[in-house]
Amino acid sequence: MGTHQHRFDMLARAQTPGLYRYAYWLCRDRALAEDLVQETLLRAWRSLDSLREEAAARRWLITILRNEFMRELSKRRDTVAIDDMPLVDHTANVGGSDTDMFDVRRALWKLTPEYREPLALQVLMGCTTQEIADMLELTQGTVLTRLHRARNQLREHLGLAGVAMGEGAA
Amino acid sequence: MSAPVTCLDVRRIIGAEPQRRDEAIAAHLKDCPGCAAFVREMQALDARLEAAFKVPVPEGLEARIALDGSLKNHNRAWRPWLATAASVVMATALATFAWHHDHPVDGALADAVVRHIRNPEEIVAIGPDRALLHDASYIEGVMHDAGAGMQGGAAGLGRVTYAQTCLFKGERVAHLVVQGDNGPVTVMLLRHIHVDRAVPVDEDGFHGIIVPAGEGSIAIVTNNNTPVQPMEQELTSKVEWTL
Repeated sequence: MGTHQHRFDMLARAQTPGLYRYAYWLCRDRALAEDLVQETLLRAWRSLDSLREEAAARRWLITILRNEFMRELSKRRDTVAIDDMPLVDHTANVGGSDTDMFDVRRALWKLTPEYREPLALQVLMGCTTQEIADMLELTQGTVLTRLHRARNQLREHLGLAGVAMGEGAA
Repeated sequence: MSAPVTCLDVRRIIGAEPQRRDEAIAAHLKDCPGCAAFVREMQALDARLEAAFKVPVPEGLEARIALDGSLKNHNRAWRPWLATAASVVMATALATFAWHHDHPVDGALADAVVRHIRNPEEIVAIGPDRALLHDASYIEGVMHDAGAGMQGGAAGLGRVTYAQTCLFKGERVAHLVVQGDNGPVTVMLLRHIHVDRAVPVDEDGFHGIIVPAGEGSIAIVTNNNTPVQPMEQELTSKVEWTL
């Protein structure tokens, strides 16, 4: 097996689960999420030589996938009403048969994308706030604020006891 | 030595980064049981979030992508082929759907409603311990997304414990659960499905009815002894289609 092929296979196996989940939380559609992952890895295959460090692979792939999603979103905006995006899929509760998982996923979908995406990048993909800021082209301060507000809203949606979160504090 | 931080600082920082441990934060937590409890709460929340984010990955996806040489070697040649095939499938599906839209097969519709309710991903909606949804605007938002509204607002539905927009036969529908006299009753607002007459539902321990409502229909189904007739009258008189 060639080095290029071997390197790609290792990368695909290691990163596919995380990429698929991230894609799903972007688009809320299992079929589209799978397609986005395939497209992302196809692009990665073509330009694998530009990846110098394996440690940077996750961030590199996330950026490609996010660009693919934006491209898809843009295409759909040309053909369907913006109100129809993101796609709505009853699989909002996919894979969760216990009530807590169900409620947490529902609460996550109640967040706006600007709050849900950095949270997914942090909690699901293990990105630092600086990495998130770079990927989303935001300042690190904005990312911190969004993460803080996202958790604040989730606590409200989940009916968690009210320990002050410091919102609006100087 | 770093500057001391206040409780508000700690909660703002930990609210954004629950795993963060600066020297100043660690020092504060030693002396502040309230903030220490807050940190534990946020870490517990993050554990729930991590589990919730981890939706199941389609079986074999990694292997398909890693081993599919044709995907890599033929660039996107598979895609036009797939698109053509998908178009044919979609055209057939749309034609079939259009026919069924006007001529729903009663038994098949009742069966589809019960299958949707019994779907492993939806069955928890009729679990016994679900909390009431107090946010009427959320329920109305779900109905709105499904092209439905209710005269007088969501309060007219009664005690709602579940509200979600679902895909059903290719269209968005409102999937609601209302607490009836003897337990949960599922109400599905099917804007896109017209029935000429009431369709009885009696499958797998679930019973109820799918009633005409203007150009759409409403399914009212339960697996307990709650009578559905009063709800039928209430819903058909108050539900309206907005799209």
